[in-house]
Amino acid sequence: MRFFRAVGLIFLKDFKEEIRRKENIAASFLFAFLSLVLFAFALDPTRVDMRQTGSGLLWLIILFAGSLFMGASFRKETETGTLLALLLCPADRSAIYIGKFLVNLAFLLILEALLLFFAFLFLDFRVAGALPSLALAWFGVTVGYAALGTLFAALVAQTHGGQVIYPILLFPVLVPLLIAAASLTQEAVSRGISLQNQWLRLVLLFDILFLTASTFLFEYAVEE
Amino acid sequence: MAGERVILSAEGLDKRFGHFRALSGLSIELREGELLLLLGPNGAGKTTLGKVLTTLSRPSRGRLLFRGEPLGEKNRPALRQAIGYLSHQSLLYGHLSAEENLLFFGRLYGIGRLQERVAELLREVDLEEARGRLVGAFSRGMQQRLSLARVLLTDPSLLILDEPYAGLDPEGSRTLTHLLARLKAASRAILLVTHELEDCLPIADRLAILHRGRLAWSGEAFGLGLEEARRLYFQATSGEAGS
Repeated sequence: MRFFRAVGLIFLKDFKEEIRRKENIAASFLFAFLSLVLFAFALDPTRVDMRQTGSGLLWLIILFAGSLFMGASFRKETETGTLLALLLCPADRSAIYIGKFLVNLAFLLILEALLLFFAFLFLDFRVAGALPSLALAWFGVTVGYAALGTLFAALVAQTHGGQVIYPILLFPVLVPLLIAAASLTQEAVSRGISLQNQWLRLVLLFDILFLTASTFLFEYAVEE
Repeated sequence: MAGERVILSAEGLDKRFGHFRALSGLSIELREGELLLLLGPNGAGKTTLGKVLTTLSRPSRGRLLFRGEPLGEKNRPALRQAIGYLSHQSLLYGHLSAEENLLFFGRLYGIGRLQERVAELLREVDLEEARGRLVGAFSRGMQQRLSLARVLLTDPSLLILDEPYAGLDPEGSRTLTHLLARLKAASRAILLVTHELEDCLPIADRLAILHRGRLAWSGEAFGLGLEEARRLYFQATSGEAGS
């Protein structure tokens, strides 16, 4: 009970702080929006099949915009020392990780929803009929991305130059998940996906693996 | 008057970071109602010792005993509940108000009648009127007073204070010293890491000097004058004094 209470408290505290601080949210959303605008000018929708190309482009934007936001998950806590105060609490330390993971997941899902809307406006990326399939695929991939992104943010938070190291460490580990993400998005948009889909099963396997391993490794990631 | 009950003790602590030995065979005891003043030059291992004692960092060798029991997974949460840790950093959220900060930590610790306790502490540290203001807009002195309120929220029996005087003006330092004297009188064990001998020596019971990760000198602080303490410090950190 104490564990879930701690998770809820950390989630609400972080959410409130991020909304008030604005800098991380603004940086990520602005990056995502500008990237979309840039692609809208660079690609000719009459020559490019947006269902094919759009899925890769959107995941590229989510990858970079998400890392901008998640990379700062623990940085502020380290700068002000509040991470020490959290670690001293008698609650299980993995509650801190799960709370932060949920904040990152919530942010990524909001970003993705907005991105889909603007991709429809700027890139003519039409997904109305495929929304349930797409939601399932993107949710699965985002869980894995947020799980690893949160753990790596904790790992580099106490490292000098952590901001630079963060994507260098994170992106190579994400490659299999991103390949699955692009393939799943293409399939979801063109013919829909079922629970039997091989890529979806792979993504679920990644999610379970990443989330379980990250929860156990978090204690070591934040220890000196 | 210091009590005899040992709340936390460390035996033969070693802490290594790669080849660097931050603590070396260090043993120390923190007793109820006693203020132990820990001095040492920069890099002596004071902050590392504080982190090991608070369980924020695991020792490479040696052990901790909490109320006489070796520290393990079973009694670690109890030790964390009993510890109040204050450092030169505020350990507060700048984008939350003073009251929100205390409520957040209070809920994490599962403190009962929290609203009343928070109101009482804000009154005690003279921040009642600033309760709704964001902590990021506070002065250093106000932040430190609020940090102290955060530490006292759980009514800890053991206080580990790592350079709490850093950045405080003379008035803030005086207030902190009075508060520490009161906490000591209320039977709290206090480990105070500081360079502010002038403010802290009068309320200290024991003095320990750390140098290069080792306890270079330790003894009673009672009756020790400022000049004598300074002389001991310089001797110990240049390797001349014995304990």
